Amino acid sequence: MKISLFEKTGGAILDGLEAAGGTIRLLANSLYWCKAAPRYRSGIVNQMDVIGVGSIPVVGLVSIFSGMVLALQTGLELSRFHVEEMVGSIVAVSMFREMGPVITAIIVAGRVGAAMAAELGTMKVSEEIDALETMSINPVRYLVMPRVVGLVSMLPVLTIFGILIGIGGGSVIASSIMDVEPQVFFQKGVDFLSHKDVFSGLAKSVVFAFLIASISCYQGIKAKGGAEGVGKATIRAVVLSFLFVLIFDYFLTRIFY
Amino acid sequence: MIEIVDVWKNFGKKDVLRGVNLKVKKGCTTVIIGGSGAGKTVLIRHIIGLFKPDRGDVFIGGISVPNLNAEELEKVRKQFGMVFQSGALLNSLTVGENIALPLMEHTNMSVDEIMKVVGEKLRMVHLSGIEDESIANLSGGMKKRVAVARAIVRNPEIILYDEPTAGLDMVMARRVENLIGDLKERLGVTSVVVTHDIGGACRIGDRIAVLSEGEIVEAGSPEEIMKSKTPAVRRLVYGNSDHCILRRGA
Ligand SMILES: Nc1ncnc2c1ncn2[C@@H]1O[C@H](COP(=O)(O)OP(=O)(O)O)[C@@H](O)[C@H]1O
Ligand SMILES: [Mg+2]
Repeated sequence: MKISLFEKTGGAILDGLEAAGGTIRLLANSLYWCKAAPRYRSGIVNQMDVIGVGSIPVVGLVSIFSGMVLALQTGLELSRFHVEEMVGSIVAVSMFREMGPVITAIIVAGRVGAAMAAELGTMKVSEEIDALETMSINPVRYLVMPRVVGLVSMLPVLTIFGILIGIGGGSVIASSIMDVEPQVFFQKGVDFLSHKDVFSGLAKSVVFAFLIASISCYQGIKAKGGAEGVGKATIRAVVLSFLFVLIFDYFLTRIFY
Repeated sequence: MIEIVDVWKNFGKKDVLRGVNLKVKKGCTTVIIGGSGAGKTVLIRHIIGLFKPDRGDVFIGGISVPNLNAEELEKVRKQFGMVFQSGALLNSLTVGENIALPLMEHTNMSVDEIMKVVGEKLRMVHLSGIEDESIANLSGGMKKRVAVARAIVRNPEIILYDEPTAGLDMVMARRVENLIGDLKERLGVTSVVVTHDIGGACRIGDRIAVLSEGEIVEAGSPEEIMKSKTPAVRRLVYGNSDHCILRRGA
């Protein structure tokens, strides 16, 4: 009994290490194939469209409500001390530093990461990826690289979009409930934002994009066992992406601040 | 042309291939027959280097496939076309784009030239004019034949077919069998066909090899296989279909 538990734990750790190594190798491999990106621009543009344009509605919707909740919660507290005009700076700084990058990454992991794992997983179990290999078409170059490039180029854009929408939502609440004029709201935001806030937010979103793309693509191309295997790969892609976005968020915050 | 020498392959606890030996002659159609789960797909994947044997070797024209690096493997694979069991066409592309893909990736031909070749290959599989169809709209038999068109687009010397007639109705299965014979006659290709259908094996095979318990237990002409006394072979022959025997007997 003890030995089997020991073996199980050991096996799980080894599997985890193998997956981590495989994911890193896949990412390195797809970065190598970026040299072929100009030839695959139509595929990359297609990915950018699916990832970027396709995510705009849900990112906008979630961000505006996040900004509104943030303004509501902090504004009500601040008004007890009669400094409610500070709400603009708090909303702007937290959207740029933390909420914008993380919320956008979580939405994109759920939407795009899941789709990547499901698509590549389906291709794997229906032998399409093997077929590519027999035709000497490198699957990393043809399938993974355009997805990585598409996500890494679009997630920062979506993040900026989400941040601005969130701040806009915050200003609506500030002016309607706390009587903080939009000019004051935005002026406070601009006053308190530093270059570092903007830069760290964008840097986070780039790192999150690499995480989501490499985890999701790896889980997809390692799928096995028919439709059920694809389902499992998709779940793993989303859960692992969430987990690692939050873990990396903590460490990046530690590094920046 | 193809030589499989004492190939062993194990997945987890299970020995799937236990010392397979097989020679495939140039210009012939060799059928590997075996029951479901016998390891036919695993074996055919070794020929094109998708799996590496645990032990043993696979030679293509004297070159050992398992020991090739990525670049050399690419060169060897150029001589191959493979038709997968499920067709393995890319669902995100149209029929025409699927067939064009190897040429798009590996040649500098213009789009017009490529589409001309695509049209020609589609004609060869009797599916002219469906370039713009999406894969999802094709029937099983059409998918198989589009997969054949894709496999022959680079004029390969060897074509591997994994269960080309499985899951098709009788008429469509016959049509695919005729197509395999046709390509052999017209292009002079060497074919390796994996199947569990003894009737089809007799119709298209110059030589039949029986895979059982991870080994080739018998190989010979269709007549020899039909007359075989080996129990594993007789099980396949009588277990699956008897119209072949009737035809051969008549
Ligand atoms: N990639 C793989 N990993 C683990 N087991 C496999 C793999 N491919 C095939 N097998 C096992 O090998 C055996 C033979 O499979 P296969 O060659 O697909 O049979 P068939 O003769 O029906 O084509 C099966 O038991 C299958 O479970
Ligand atoms: Mg099979």
